[in-house]
Amino acid sequence: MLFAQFKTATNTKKDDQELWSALRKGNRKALSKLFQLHHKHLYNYGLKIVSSEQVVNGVIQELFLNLWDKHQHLSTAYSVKAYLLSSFRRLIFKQIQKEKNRAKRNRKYIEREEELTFSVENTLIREEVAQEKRRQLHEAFQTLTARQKEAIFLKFYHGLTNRELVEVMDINYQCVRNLLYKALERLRSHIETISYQD
Amino acid sequence: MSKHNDQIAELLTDDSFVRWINGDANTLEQRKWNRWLEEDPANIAVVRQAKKLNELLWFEEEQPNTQKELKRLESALIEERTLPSEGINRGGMGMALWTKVAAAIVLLITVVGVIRYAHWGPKEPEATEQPIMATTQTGYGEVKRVTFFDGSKIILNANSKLTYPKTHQGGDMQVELQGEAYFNIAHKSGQEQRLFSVLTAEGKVAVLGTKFNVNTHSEGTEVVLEEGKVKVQKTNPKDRANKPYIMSPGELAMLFSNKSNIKIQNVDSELYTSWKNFELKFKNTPLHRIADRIEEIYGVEVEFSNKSLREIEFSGSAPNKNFEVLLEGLRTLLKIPVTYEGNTIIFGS
Repeated sequence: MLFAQFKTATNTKKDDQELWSALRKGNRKALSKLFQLHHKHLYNYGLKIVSSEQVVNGVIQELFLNLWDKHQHLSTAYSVKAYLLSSFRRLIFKQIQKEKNRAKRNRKYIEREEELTFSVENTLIREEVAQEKRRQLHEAFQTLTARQKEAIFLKFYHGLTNRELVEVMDINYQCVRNLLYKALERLRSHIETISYQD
Repeated sequence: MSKHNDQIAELLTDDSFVRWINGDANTLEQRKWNRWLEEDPANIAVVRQAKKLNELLWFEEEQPNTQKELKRLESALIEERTLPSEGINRGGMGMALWTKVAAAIVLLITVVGVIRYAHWGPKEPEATEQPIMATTQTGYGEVKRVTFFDGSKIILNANSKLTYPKTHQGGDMQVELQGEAYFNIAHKSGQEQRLFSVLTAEGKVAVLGTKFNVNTHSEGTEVVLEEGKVKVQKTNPKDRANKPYIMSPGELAMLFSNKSNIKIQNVDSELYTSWKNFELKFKNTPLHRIADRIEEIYGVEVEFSNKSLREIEFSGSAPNKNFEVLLEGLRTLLKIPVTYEGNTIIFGS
């Protein structure tokens, strides 16, 4: 039994490249097509970082408007998906920062920088997985750090390769592998018991 | 057992292995992993475990309205292209690009809400026909003036958006605001008298004719009255405590987005309206408030070399014809180094 997501991820890669080069030549339809192909994934990724649907949708719009604005200056992307996700991630953090700056107004200065949260509350596990497993894995997931959750999500939901993760999360290759390894190890140790049941 | 765990975690960080168990590996990879499988019978169990974990890591997804969002993108692209450059571009330093980006952002931040045409007072049944709305907006560092047929003037500050009826035939009139604007509403008497109201996310400001400033930001809507009388009211009419308040000149009414009451304080209204004369005035204003103001108008980021600078209060004014003039004015007024680099202003050395 395979992941449907993995399949689509591999199949769209070739389309992505063709659309990307069309976009660079100024093809508006290519932009719309890329939007259609990637909107759902960007949306789901964004919602894990900020819970506001409105903010996520707004930033996706901004991302594609920016793409169109500078389409002449775009370089070839070895992975369109990774390029979109990493630009999107940057824009979201910029937006969060901006909103924080606005909130400072009329208020005493708050020194503490809030840490990034990556929420996977309503995440995980297909319907057919037993309730108990679902609960345990959910619990295990909550013990991961925000970055570990993000890495796991990007790898197993978006089907990104490690090299793509390097680009999106803006950390080096070894860090990506360590992050994934630590997260998987932790998940494994929590759900060890379930995995051995059948 | 722990060795086992490690190995599975290790394997799942290997792209080639993940491709293989997902059936996406190329022939070379397949050969490699099949050979590995044959090397040690224990590996069969390892693969089974890895596959199980891989399958467990299934994420529920939300279904966005892609078509609707795509339409929004496409119409934004068209609008951006044909937008006339009627604004007074207080340019300098790549503001053209900023204006463009900001125009896009302003459009994005738009709350996709229902436009309410809640008229106050009696109305004829045919008046329910929805007027065609026009929108004007400003980018960072930009100010626009809108003059209505009846002589009323609205000055829209940077990074703001105003929606108004395009085909207004007299009678009550309602506009919607996001951002900041100064309103100079002509007073009409007798037959021509009408109610002019400004709708924001938090509430409504209703006037017959007067001068006032409205600024909306993340905490709510801020109304400062310069002349005449205005009535402010929070949006939620279900709330019984939601009484309208009649403001007097020199008052600031704060309609918080997360509280039901309206906070009133006495202010020097000029400090809030001086922007329309291309001047920023301060009176015992802490530097971080000045910083917020600049961020709002120019979309730049402001940093402090030293945190203690934030609370230092300043009084005086700085010309605000354009970004460079403002920077120079701030240097003179604040008497501290003000540097600008890569979209960030740094106060202090």
